[in-house]
Amino acid sequence: MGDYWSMLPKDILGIIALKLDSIEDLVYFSAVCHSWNHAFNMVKLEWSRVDKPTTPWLLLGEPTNKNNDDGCRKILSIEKNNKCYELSLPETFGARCWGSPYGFILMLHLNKKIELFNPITKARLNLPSLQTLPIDPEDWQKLCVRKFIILKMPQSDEFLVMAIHWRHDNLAFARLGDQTWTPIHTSCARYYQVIDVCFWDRLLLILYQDGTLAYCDIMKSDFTAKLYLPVPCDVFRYVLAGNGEMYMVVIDGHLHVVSRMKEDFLDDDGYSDYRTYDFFVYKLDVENKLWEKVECLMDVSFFVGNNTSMFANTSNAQRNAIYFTDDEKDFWRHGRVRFRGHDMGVLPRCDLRIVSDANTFFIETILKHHGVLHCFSEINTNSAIVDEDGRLRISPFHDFNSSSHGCNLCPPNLCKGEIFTRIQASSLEKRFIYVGDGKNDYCPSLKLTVKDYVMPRKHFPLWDAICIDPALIKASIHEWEDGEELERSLIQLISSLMIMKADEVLIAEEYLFADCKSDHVAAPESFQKSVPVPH
Amino acid sequence: MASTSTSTLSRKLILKSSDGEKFEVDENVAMQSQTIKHMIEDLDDINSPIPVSIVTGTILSKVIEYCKKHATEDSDSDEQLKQWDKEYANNMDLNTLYYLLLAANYMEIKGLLELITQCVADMIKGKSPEEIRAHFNIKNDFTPQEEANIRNENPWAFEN
Repeated sequence: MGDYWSMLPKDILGIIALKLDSIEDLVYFSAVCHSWNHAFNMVKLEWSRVDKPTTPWLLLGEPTNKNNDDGCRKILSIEKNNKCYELSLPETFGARCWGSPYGFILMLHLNKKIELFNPITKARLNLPSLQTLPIDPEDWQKLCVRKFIILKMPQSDEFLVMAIHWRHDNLAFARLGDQTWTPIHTSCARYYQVIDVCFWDRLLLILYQDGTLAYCDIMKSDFTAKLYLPVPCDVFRYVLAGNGEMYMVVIDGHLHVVSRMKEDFLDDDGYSDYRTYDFFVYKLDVENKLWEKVECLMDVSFFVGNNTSMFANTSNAQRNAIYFTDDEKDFWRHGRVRFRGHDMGVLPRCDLRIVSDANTFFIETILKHHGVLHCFSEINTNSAIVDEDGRLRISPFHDFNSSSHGCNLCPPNLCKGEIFTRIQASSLEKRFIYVGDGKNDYCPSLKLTVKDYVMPRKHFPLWDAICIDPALIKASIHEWEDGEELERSLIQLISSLMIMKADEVLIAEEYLFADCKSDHVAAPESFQKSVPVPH
Repeated sequence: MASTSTSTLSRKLILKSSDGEKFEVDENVAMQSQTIKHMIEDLDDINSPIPVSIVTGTILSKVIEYCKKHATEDSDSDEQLKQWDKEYANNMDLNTLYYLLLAANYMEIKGLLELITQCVADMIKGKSPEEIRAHFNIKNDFTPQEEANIRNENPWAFEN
């Protein structure tokens, strides 16, 4: 067989290159031979503009504590199992960067120059200077632009860059080649700021801080926002009540809002700090103009924060996870506050299950009361019904009258180990955190493997049983005494697991830490249960 | 389903491959190719064979197989057609894929070109330059200096 693949016409090679969907593949393509390399050079600009369902690279923060003369930036490829690349990007030195789904990042330089930059092809595209933004000069000092969003005009390859700045009429746009930024009049929600913008079909949608949704028919050169949906009564109340952020993402034509929950806290040194602890996702029911809460997003991950809000169908990455970066509005907050730029991480949707010798009635009532019933994917316990006389009737989980479950460690009505074995078999690659206190938690604890964790409550039967011969337990043992300690220790554990997932201790140290709180795991004291958290 | 109401549907064309093999096809099958469509427009006598100069008989028969499938408006759903395309491409060896690419490009059959380029791109995915060369039997024609330069453009991709 001859060497004819190198002789394919360049335009055919170009079409092939455009069909590659990871940057790694494209770079390897370019290194095959001369003619392939030419084809790569021919299409490299176009490549990043083609819409492809790729998993994004994550550009990690600029190192602050090291000599970084060569402008090295770390980039994390989730698609390649969190492989971390180090790219020399002196172009980004000192610039604030915002990510986008199109291979370009937007850089705002100290000299107020704004450009789009592709870290791989090194292509640079100029945008009008910051000085042409309609901003009060006093605002310069506040790093006047909160966020840049890179969009593509519907059915076209043309970029549209949106700038959200500080004034209340705070939205402007520019296209490549424009001399100045053009303001969009956003007087729909008078007292609130624009917080995110996206295209939905042919309309530019504008989301305000209070949840109001407006649209702007920018394709028809109408630069005024008009009301689309007023403030939803109570949907976003959680976000609005606290330090929240909201992001808009369109998936298969459906508009979603991802709302991010933040809280303030004091760190160990008494500095006030903030962290993200949860997300909610809502989908717009267009017909009824209502927001519906989305509990489960199959195989979709969100990427939100200091970038154009986006999603990806992630096969290798954490399914159904939310990747977030810090987009705190104030660059430096007043008083004893840490720098921004640290509140980032991945919120995996931990799978929470209950295995308990209580009963469905008790458990569901208590979980419902705390509003967390939806957090659990499975409840294994004795079934219970309230009969006509108002009496609670409980039937055993395992019908011991017809057969025995065969485990002599457990009571006849329920062997938690048996249930755990089934869960284990269906979640092979997952790690388990098993929280428990009862004697019947001992059997499943014995089934945990070295990569798992068992969290027994101190001075309770499970702990006593483990203490007799800790060597029998393969999992790591983390004991706890009260709800507070369990919460602290559990969150710490999950965080450390996330860091381990990142594979790179270096990243973990400096940039990527999981600020995730598992969904309300701390159990009400009043009933016996154990919550394995496959992870 | 054959209809005689429109004479254009039943018109036959003769395609002639580079090695002289002749194929009689329905006009709507041949019209999948933009190149042939243009040729017919300029042609006085559609009964004379239309030369498809750079495509051999073996490859032309495969191209016609594809065009036939995509010309018939039968009840195949998009899903079934996709499945058919997939099997069609998977049954080709590398050699055939190469000549199909050239044929699809020359004959301007957009769907076929899309299909085969996607199939080749899928083969490239996840492979290092060395693996790509081995797979497609491509000679490394870079000088060591050139190769080093290319790697230096994206050193991150070549670290182990």
